[in-house]
Amino acid sequence: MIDVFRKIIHVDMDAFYAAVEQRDIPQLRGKPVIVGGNPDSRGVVATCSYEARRFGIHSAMSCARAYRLCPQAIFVRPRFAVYQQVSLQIRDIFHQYTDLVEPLSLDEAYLDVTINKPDIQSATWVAQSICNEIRQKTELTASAGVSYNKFLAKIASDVNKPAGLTVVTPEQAEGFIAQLPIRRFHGVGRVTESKMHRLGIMSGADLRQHTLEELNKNFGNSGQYYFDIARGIDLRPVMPNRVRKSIGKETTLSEDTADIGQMLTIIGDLSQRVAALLESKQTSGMTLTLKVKFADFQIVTRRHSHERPIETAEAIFALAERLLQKTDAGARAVRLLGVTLSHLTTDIPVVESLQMELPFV
Amino acid sequence: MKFNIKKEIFLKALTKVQGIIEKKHTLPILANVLIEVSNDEIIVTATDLEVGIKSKYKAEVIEDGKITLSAKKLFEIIKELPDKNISFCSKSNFWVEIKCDKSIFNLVGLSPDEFPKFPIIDESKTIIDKNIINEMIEKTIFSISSDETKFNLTGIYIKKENKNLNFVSTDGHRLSLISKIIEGELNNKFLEGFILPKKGIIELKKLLENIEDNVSIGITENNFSISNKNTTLIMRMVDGEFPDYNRVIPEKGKNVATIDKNLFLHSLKRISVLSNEKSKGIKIKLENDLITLTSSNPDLGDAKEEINIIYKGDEISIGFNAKYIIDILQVIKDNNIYLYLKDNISPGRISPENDDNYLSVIMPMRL
Repeated sequence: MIDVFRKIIHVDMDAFYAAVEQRDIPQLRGKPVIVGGNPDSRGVVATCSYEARRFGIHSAMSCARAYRLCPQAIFVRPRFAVYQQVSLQIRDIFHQYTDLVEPLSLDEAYLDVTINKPDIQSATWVAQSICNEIRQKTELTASAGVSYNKFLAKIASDVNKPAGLTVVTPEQAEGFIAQLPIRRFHGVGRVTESKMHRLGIMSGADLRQHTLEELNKNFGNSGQYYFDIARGIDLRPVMPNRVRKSIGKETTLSEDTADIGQMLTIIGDLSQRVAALLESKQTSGMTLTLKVKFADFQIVTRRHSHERPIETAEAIFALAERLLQKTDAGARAVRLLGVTLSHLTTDIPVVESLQMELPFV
Repeated sequence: MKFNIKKEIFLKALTKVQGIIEKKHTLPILANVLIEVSNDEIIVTATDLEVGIKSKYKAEVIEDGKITLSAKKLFEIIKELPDKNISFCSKSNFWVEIKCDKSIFNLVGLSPDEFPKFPIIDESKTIIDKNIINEMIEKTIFSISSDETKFNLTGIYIKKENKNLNFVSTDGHRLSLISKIIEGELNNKFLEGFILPKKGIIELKKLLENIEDNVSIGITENNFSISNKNTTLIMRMVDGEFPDYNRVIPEKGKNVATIDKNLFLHSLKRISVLSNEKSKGIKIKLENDLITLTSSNPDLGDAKEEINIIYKGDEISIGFNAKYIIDILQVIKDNNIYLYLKDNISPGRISPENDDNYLSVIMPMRL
């Protein structure tokens, strides 16, 4: 396998937005901080501090629920201009090591350091050096995963969070994958997870027991992907210029339904999550697509192009509801719903300099 | 109602109320001034319900009464009249006839009964040196926030602490605090602290600049009034809580620079020409007895200037909005200022060399 000769790092900032707030406002340090909407609004949690995570709060949870879990949490409105600025600082650090940087969002990126500018042999040293530099320049911590492909690097970065560094060498890969719960595999959501469980697949080791034919039969097009990653194979290159063309969320229903009310509840939830993603990426879209997969696996899409950018959960929901009426949903049972925004208006305002705020609380 | 008044006096009365009248108010009566006539004087009142002013002027009164007229139209008319006596005479249905020399104007007014009542002010007043108040306003007015979403920052916070009266303002990026010993008793409200709105402060400053005598302060619930013998200015306090400013004022620390104020001020003005137009960010570097100011603008070019100062602290390089420093230097009379810095990212503190009771805190910029 040629693959094992690559050196890939996945860098992920720890509780990024919340950490920036705690850095800039000393009174927030050591406290459960939630960056996102107001607790009394329909907003969702964008990021929360580790102190808040102890209460069971996680991102994409509704702020109202987060408030119920932890009433003493401090809710802070996001300051995206600041995060943007810090993100650029971090990206500058990455580019001191390699130009093969693929940012996934403001707080996460893949780096291919097989060949790196300072000519450091060990990818672990590179990762260490990057994390140290991030800490020095931004007073924030990052976690890094080091391995020979993106799949393993990403999972590894999550192992010792926060401020952790985890290396998965080609020799360790088999053992590492074998003990991973199936949920941790990228692309395995709630529905796939329960399906895997039904098939007796609980961990990477179980997945490896299955032949390609079996996986293809049960998971269709994704069979090959699951077959490969169970063996630590992921040939996707780090793509420095990858541009996101759309932002969307879809969900497979736990049971097929013909109840429009239930579909609208799900669409409402998807709209919120897409709006949260749009906000975190500071963009909006001109075209909304609704995807409906019927019980018989037939997929239809309906699309609407708006004259103005669509960005709020309310706007997404209102349009998606109208699109749903243009399908046979209701007359036919539905098994999957998806909401996607495309034609993104990614004109992110780059802040040239940044005025800091007085740390009142 | 009928009275005669000198043009010069009446024009002064109208000029005084122009700043209060809101151009676009939903209540038409608020575009008008109220003129009340009795006992050889007229009382001119204007209000926008937040800030109101009432002044007395000598006049030759022939018949008592009240009228309201458009403050703007009246001002435009009176301004152009010859320097002679003007006579006012009310007609039916709130019409008013204005005569001066050979001109006659007929203006339609609104019922004086519609005009909002001017709050009655607490009698237990405090007499205050108007020069002190004026100075305190001048040294804090520039850092009031104009961001209406931060309502509690849109005014000057006034609070008595021990023997001192403090005036504080902040826009969230910088803060100004002046503290002065005030003789005499102050209303309990001063101990609690309250916020006066920017518009009221602007009117107050104008008033203080145009009078000779001292002023008395009155407080009734959420109304604050300040008056001399002929004029009363009243304003409603801003409804909101001022942030705890003491916690954002940094310690003086060991890194203090003594800088010639005028050299620093002019250098800042020059260097900021090439800073980013909007953010006005410049860089300041402190090292042994030297301050270096630099700016750069990718579209224009860059600039650098050095000034000799007294400084023995750490070498520090920090970004600031030049305007924030210029604002405070412009109201400092001393020849030298102290600039206190902790490090590259902590707030800076500026004070005049001889007045420890005035300071400005400025947050840096990441440049």
